[in-house]
Amino acid sequence: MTAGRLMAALVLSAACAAPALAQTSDAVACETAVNRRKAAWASSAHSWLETMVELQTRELELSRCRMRASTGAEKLHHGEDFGRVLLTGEGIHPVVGTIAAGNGLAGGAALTHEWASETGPRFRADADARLSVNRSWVTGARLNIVGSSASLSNSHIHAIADASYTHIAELSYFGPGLGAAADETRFGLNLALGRFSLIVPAGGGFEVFGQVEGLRAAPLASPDSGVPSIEARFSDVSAPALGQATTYAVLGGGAGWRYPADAVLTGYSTTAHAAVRRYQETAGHPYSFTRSDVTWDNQYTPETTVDAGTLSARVHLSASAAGSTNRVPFYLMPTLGGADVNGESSLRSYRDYRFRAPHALSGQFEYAHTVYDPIGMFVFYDVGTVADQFGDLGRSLKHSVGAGLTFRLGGAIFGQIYYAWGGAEGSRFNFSGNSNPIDIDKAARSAF
Amino acid sequence: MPFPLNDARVEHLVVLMMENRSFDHMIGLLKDELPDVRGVAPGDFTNLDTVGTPVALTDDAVYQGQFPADPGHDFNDVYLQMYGTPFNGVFARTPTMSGFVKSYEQQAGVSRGAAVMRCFKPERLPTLATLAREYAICDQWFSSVPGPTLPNRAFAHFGTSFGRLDMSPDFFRAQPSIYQRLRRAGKKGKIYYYSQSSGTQGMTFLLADQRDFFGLFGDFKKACKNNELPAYSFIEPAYSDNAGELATDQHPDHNVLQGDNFIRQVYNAIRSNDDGWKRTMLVVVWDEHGGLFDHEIPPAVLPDDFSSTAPPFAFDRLGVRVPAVIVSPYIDAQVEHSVYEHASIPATVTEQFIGDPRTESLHSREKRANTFLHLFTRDIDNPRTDTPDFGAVKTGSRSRARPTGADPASSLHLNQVRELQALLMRIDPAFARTLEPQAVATEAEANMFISTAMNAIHRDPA
Repeated sequence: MTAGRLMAALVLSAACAAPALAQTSDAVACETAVNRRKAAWASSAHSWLETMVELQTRELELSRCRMRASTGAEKLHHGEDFGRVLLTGEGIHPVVGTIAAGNGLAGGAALTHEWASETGPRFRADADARLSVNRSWVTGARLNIVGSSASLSNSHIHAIADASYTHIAELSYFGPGLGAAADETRFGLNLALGRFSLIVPAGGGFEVFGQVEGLRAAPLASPDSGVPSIEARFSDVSAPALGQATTYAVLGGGAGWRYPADAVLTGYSTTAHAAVRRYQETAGHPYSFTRSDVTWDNQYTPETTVDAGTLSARVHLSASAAGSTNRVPFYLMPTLGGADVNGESSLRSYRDYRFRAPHALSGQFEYAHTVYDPIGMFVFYDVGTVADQFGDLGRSLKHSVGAGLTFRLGGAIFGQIYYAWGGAEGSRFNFSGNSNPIDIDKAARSAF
Repeated sequence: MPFPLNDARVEHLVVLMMENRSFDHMIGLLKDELPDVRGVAPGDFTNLDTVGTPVALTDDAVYQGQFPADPGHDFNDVYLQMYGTPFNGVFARTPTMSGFVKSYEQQAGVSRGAAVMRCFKPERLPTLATLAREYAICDQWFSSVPGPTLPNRAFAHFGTSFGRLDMSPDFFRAQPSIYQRLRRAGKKGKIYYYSQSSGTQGMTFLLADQRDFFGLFGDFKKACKNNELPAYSFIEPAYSDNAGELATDQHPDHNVLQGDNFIRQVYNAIRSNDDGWKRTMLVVVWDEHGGLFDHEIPPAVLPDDFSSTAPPFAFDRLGVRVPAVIVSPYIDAQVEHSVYEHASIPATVTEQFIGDPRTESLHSREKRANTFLHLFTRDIDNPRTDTPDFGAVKTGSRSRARPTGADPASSLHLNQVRELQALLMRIDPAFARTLEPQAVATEAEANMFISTAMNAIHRDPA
């Protein structure tokens, strides 16, 4: 019922794109109708969901009233207002973005709700479902819990519970290691994930975190897309756990550090995260391993009257220790090239997931400058390597350079488009972005 | 008077703009200890709810969980709150401040309206209440627009909202803000927003290609510590809970005590460098009332240069009153009754750093807005060196006598008496005829009448 009303409001609003007379009296009559609706609403009690949908619908109707009554640039402004209500804040929103690199644009709906009791912690729940053009899909939910005892430093214990199910129709596999040929094969992957993370501030810019997780990953044959399926070229030897689903109990912990403790826009700042996670295969298959991740971000923005841009450097190391009797499944190995399954970019002139191995080391160096806010430009240099053995990391490196444009919303980048080249595999043009509210914190992110 | 003033006592003007709380809700109850403050006491005022039951002002506001739905603060909502009836295209003559409860029930549902009448006891907000006691509390600072956040904040940045009453990010307007005007005058102005994830309210788009106008709160603290504050700093609190940090903006239903702590963080940052502190004026103000009750009638003003057609509004009436406190080592404890609005901010910046606001300000409301540099009570060689004790509740720091019951009742108070009498005539005419509302003239008589009437209204029919 409530969802139906929301849809009715959306359709109604879309109809406003048609030209309408700019009449103040129209606007007054239209807003009066909304006011009558509000008065009727006040006569009874409502659930939180009804309230949320009603308030959102009402705001959309008001935007529609104002769009109808205005002309020219003013109509455009009210159109922006409509977009703001539709896409942001509490309630049900359409989302546009990606599920995993190489699976096309995805769209869906998200629900965001925040609440707090008078004395307890604060809660924020996000849930979303998206379907991509190649029929990949994801559905999931996240609950954020933040301690409510106010502190002068505004540092609080933070807990996240999240669960998701993801079907990725197509992922690329080129073979293990840095020397893998550029002949692409594909596979699909189903992922079921449940996780609880606890992050505790420790003062001085430090934080520690602990995590428990249940993960089930099942590789799939690739649909017929003109590219060979993984089984056509690889076996369990060259693609560990090929055709083998795995189920893990994951226990992890780590620490993070930020300097200065208060984030700054100018001058030098750095953050570092280190985490160790034990992936224990619970069905008895020989695919248990321990993964260590270290990430170090650096940023420098000179404080000048004229915008001089920002220099940034990021280094990420991922190492997996499986022992002599276990191996790391190929679908849980870190990847370099384009973007990984989390959307993190590296070696951007190469295709997505181009290099894959138990150990990976990557560096990204960028210079970014505002062009005309919210649009900015950036140039970058990426370097990286993967290896079967940790000691082999760094023996050979791959490189990319490129340039692109960024799009910001409220100060944060929500999309970028770039052209990259370097290496022996040509150049690449790519776009990435996501309006999805489920954005797992880096400290809480594990294999996926 | 030569302009700009370049008063040596204020080399740095810092404005912290919080979110969506009214004066009465936050510091109205300070009237009990600061009688000169045009505040409130529990039971002083009522609003009728949707079914006609009076809902009285109370002193039991809580830090969070009070507002399951965000109180309305769109133009239509604020009109209902101020005038008691829905907007029908024509402005009523005088606001009655009688529709807050009804308005909230239009957001949250029946019987939920009392939430907007709940006010904070001063001891619940130690930082704000202490600064209000120790420095200048402005009890006639009104939001610029009877509407939401962005147009109100636009008045602080531009001296106008360009005829806008809505919340669309207005990045097509390339109008000079106070920051650009300062730069042309050889001075520096900066917006410090809390974090990258919190962002700035609207200004990212408006300040095209001028990243040097921005910093984060960490940059502000660093600038304070090194005594490198720009001439003008505008601070934005955290607008949302993020990871392990709580929102600090106090927007309903965010944690209000965390916002109070944020005010203290700003104050402490300025105090962290003694030389900087002696040259800095801090203004703590809220952008709008957020749908929460306030009893002061927003004054009519001359129209702005721009008007709105949808809905029709000439910007000739201020919005609901908001809390405002001005802090400086050259300001002694005082209650300031001059009328201010957010255009007073760029007007004061202009007066101090650029030139005569009557000629240098770009828009009418800013040209006419009162400025607040006259609040200094000390010479430059005699700054205050004391530090307020935020941990202890202080009382009696004002020397003025408390009002007596013989003080005349306000027009709003008398309206309330008439309203209650009309209600009683409907539900208990026999009892109503025993009362004498026409004889009510003083505060004490009005309080007595209201108390009697409320008891009659709520008593058991049996």
